[in-house]
Amino acid sequence: MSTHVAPVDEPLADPEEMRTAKRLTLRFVLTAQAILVVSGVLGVLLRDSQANLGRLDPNWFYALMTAHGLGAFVGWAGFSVMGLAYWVFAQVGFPVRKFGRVTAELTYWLMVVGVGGIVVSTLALHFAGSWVFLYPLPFHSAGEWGKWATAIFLTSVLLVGLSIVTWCLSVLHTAISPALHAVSKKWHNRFGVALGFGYLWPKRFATNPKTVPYPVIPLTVIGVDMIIATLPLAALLVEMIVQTFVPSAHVNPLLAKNVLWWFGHPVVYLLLFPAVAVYYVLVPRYAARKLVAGNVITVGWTIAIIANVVVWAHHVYLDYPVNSPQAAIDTAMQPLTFALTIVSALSLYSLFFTIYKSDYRWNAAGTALFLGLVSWLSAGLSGVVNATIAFDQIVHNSLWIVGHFHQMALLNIGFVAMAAVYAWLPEWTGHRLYSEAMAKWQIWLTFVFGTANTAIWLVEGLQGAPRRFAVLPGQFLTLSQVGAGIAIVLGAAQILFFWNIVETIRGKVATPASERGGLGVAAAKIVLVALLALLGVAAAASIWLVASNVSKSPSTTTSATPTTPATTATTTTPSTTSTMPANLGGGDPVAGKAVFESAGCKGCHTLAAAGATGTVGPNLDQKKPPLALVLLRVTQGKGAMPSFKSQLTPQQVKDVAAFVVQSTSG
Amino acid sequence: MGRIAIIIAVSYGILGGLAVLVIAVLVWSSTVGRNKQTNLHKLADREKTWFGIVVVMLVALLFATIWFTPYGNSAGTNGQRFPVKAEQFAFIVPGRTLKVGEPVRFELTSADVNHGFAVFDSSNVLLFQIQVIPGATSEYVYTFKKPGTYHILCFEYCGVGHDEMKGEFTVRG
Repeated sequence: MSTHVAPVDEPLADPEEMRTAKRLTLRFVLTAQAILVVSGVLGVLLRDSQANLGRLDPNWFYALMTAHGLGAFVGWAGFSVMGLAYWVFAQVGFPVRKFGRVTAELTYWLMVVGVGGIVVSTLALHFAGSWVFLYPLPFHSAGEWGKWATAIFLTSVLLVGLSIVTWCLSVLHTAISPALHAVSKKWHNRFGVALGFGYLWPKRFATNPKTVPYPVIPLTVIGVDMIIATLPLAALLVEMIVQTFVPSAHVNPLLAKNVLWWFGHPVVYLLLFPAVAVYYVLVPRYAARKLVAGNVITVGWTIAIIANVVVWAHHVYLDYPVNSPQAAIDTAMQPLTFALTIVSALSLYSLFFTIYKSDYRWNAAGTALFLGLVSWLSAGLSGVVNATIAFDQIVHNSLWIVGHFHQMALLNIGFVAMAAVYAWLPEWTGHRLYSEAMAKWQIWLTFVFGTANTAIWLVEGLQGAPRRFAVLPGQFLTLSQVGAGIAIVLGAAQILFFWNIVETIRGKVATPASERGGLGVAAAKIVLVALLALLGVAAAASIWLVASNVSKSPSTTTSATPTTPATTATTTTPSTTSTMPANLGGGDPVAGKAVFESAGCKGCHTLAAAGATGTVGPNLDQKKPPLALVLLRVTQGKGAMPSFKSQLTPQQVKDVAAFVVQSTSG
Repeated sequence: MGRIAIIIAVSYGILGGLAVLVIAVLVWSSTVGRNKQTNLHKLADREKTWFGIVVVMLVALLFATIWFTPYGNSAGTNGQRFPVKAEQFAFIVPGRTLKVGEPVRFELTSADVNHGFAVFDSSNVLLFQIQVIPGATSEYVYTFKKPGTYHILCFEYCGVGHDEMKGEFTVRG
């Protein structure tokens, strides 16, 4: 196997084609940043609520969580890099031709309408099924959202899915462009060339004068994979939309879960692979040399095209009901997932060694790319933990996962999107960047506070903190409050980003020309000191973590102070000899009956055991509400029902709930 | 933290620390200690070696961990059955207590949507978790070593009362 050093990529497309790519990319990227404003604010609100700084009502919390997840992941990070793909193509001489342009337009509008529908269904209609909307949760809203919210949400996600498919079509059409100079004119031969096969089989996939530029390969790979990944989900979404109005329709929930993750894993790579294409263009530019890549990198990408669509089950490692083949599927997915990490390992090698001993430019964009690589490595390592079944059984659905993907999405892919804006906004707008210094501040603040933000989640996750909890168990309050403070700074730092974009578009310039072009050695020293400081903090945190566990004896573990009503409700030990269903939560049903009669419940509810015949609220004999729902409604209220939190003592709430559950569960 | 969590914390800490050191050397060599006489072809060629190293590390991790999956555990004939029904937003557990040292077979079903069944000991250490899927039965076998009260949390998002979905059971000596 011989070795190539890829050519430095120079624009080859003609000026008109460059303008087309510029217009497309600018529109995608700016719309995505607008979505970031909204979803970023939502993220901070969620974090604050968990830390008890402005507690949100549970339905509101989960509705915002649903909007934040889809908005930040697909609407911002995904949409950004989807748009950047067109500019990357233009940079390496691949013009977006007519079909590509039409499908790109379609992509944009499907995404905009889809994100708009998600905003309406979550923020206005309170759909709170989370962005993974695990079947059949959307149809079991516990009365919190209606079927129109469900239908609009599902339709909107379907539009986003279609947007991804049309994007794939435009990417593939562009990738097999004649610009490749493939010797064979057959489209499938050009497709092989676009996948980089020419590096491995130069005769079969011959090109003239040069082999395909590296950035084209990841874009082609994801263009194929996202079509395979999205179509089954689209079918599931159509079924679910039908089921919203025709309740007799049904899908096997385990199958639906597999279909969701069949899409849900590759969609991560919808973000990562185009981001890699941007790295492949910009890192060599700032290192002033060609990408250091052996032919083996093509092997990595060839593995990726297959492995990417056969690793979904690592998201369902802990689903293995009896009499189903799921355990075997799950086991097979661990080595396949490991194989998929090879392409990241090779890309990191190439990109880091392109920087190694080079004259790297530490300007804002160059710094962002470098810190993005650092975060990619770190998030990759935590991802290997998730990919290992023996470890996943502890970290699954814990805040560890949340830490992992925020580092990957915000600090790796997000940094690529930001670096691309700093590097190319001047080219797109014809204006100089408003302030290089402000950009550097934003990048460093984001890196430091974003990494700390992730570290707290990783630590909380290892200590057993679940993800997607409006109110976390009491022992996590202190860490969550530290995390919320960090998230506020992280969010505030993005004001610098938006300010810079707006001022650049307006044609303002804040800094003298002499300041532009990076700080060179001085900046590098700052990087070095910051990295070592980070290492010190991480080491100290690890030692503290291990030490605090080793020294933990049974007598010192009761320090978890119940600080919220939610935790006080569960700290009472029930009488263990009870022959009733044990789930009365420590309430006394006899005392509860008196509460039911005196607190006015009878006026609105029907409950035979209390002789109540009210018809304003739900008939409790028919609804047979579970304990937690009764506790929720009594303390929070709902619709016409007021909260009884101030009127009843915590014990009275438990008593009345115990009474309702006991008298309706027979 | 449980044993597995400590293993994760220590190995992630060590690997992460090593990675930061390597990156620090990289930054140093690319700035302060810059040397333009780099053989880029040699670096590109060495990517093959790196590929080999990565494959060996992944295979090692695979063979070190694949034996510790929770699949296929059986309680044998001495097991204690413990059926648990999960529903929005409660776990319905049998009223009886469990015995220390005897395998327990948790038989988990859901009345409505996907739930997660996660069991914590009295020190809030996560012992194990498994997904509960509507229309199917999930089983998990666990042998409790200590008597005491064990807590259940729902570990799969199941709707607005998700974080209120808790339960507990008692294990006696």
